[in-house]
Amino acid sequence: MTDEPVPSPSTQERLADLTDDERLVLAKVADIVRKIQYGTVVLVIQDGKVVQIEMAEKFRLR
Amino acid sequence: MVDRAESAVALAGEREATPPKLSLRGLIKTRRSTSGEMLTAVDNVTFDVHQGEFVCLLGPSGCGKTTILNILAGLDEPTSGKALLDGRTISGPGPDRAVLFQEPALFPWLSVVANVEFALKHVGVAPGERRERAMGWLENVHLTGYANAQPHELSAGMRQRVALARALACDPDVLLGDEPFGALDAQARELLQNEVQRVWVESEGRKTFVFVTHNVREAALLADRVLVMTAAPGKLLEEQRIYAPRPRNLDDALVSRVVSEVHEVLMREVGKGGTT
Amino acid sequence: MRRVARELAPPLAGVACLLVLWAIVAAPASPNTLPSPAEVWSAFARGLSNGSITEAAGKTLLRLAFSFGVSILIGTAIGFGLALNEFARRAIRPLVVALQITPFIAWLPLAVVWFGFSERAVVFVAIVGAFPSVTLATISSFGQVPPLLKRAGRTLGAQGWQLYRGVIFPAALPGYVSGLQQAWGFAWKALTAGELITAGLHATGLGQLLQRSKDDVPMLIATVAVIVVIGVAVEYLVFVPIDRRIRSRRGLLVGG
Repeated sequence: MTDEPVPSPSTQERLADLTDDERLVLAKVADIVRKIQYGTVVLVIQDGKVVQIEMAEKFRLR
Repeated sequence: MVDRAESAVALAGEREATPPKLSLRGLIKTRRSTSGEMLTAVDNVTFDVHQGEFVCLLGPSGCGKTTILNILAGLDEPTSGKALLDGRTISGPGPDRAVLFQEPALFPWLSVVANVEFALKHVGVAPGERRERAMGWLENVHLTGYANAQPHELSAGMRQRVALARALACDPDVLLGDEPFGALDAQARELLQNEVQRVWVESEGRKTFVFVTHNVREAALLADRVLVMTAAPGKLLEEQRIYAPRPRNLDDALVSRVVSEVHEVLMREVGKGGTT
Repeated sequence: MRRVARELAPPLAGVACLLVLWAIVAAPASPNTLPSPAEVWSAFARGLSNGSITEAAGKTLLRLAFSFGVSILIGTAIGFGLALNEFARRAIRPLVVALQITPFIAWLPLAVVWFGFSERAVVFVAIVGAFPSVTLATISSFGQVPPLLKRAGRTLGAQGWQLYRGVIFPAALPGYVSGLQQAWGFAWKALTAGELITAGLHATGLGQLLQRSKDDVPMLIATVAVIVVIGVAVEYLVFVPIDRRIRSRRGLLVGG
């Protein structure tokens, strides 16, 4: 009997599994992450769906 | 799905493409203390405010934020550096930059509606139209029932609402607030914060609001941009840009997150020896 | 109406007690030292019917109106000037204070030297006695205008003269009226005292009437009573209502 953990699906497999909507959300989040250095992203979920994306960006001035 | 972040970012981008409404460049303000030494209230502050933005200046007591507001209002002058309105140096106070002070500053010899009419008079509204328009502004803050009362008969919160009506009656491009809710009890404060939010939303980008506060939650609730300042001598420490829709609530996830971050920063600042 | 009655009742009761006391004390005394209220009343009635009291009162009030009016003009003008210019204020205000503290009577001999025993001397003393209060009240009432109200006025677009008319004058009004009230008191006292001292052939004010009635004690007391009543009447029928109205509008009334 081996103790090997069940291999988790690779990132690629997971991405392939996504619905279009889910991919859109991820793309937008990636966009934000690319644009800002420091900040917060909030996904508001209702009925199992993301209904709002909000964001706060922080700039250090000194 | 509604991507507030994206639309808010786009909106902000549009605003920033226009020339700034208010502009501070290298602003320094010093004054002589009673013991004769030179104190720096504001130390080399630079930022722009674009039309349609709601900006809150946040910081501990003594950080110079009220000084900055007074300079923007034209009630004070920079020691050096520039303070510009629409690209021109600010030369004095005026109804284009109405101010909400911490105390309502209503004229006690005038009735509530006459106080609002005072503002209308000085922006050139004809005498015949003043009463009607003043009542309109009072209706906007839900105080028409008290039109003929004297200010001293109203509670502090109601007086501040009248002050808001009076300030808006000038139809200013810019509304400046010097901790306008600081002297109010929690309920009156909440009521007024919501009023101000509503008024700003209804102005649909035509009005620019700049408020000074030391209340972190208030800043996160109201502002698009929160400028956090250090203790005296005041400098800009950081800026939080909040892309969240209104009306906002203090228990919104994003608002809470911003509040706790800014709070942490401020606590560190206060701990550094600023007077509170 | 009920409120007026409620307010008048205690003082009237006080006066009534005084009259009763007076009658009791005066009963055993001779009419030439302490006449009874009834004797004073008949002297008063005599004075009214032969016109001496009305004429005297009229003359005095006329002089009072004139001197008070001039005091207001001079006092306000000087006060306003000093309020505007700090250096002038620091230079001249102490002089005005000194003038206010000095008993107006001290000026009378000098006034007589300059103007003789005439009406002009009396009016001069009244003016000198009264205008300092107006000046000092003008200065202090301007100084006490809350800076916040001035700032608010300026941010609403009121500047210069507009700021004065729209904000500073109305804000200074309560203090100013208090000053007028005080000045009135000084003018009244100075005037009647001045008249008394400068009593002469052509003089016909209440003060002079006092002097002429030296030997007619009931008339003397009647005249004093007239002086008192006029003073009280102007105070309570003119100044108190005005002051009250100004203060209640501003929410400054203590006790309501």
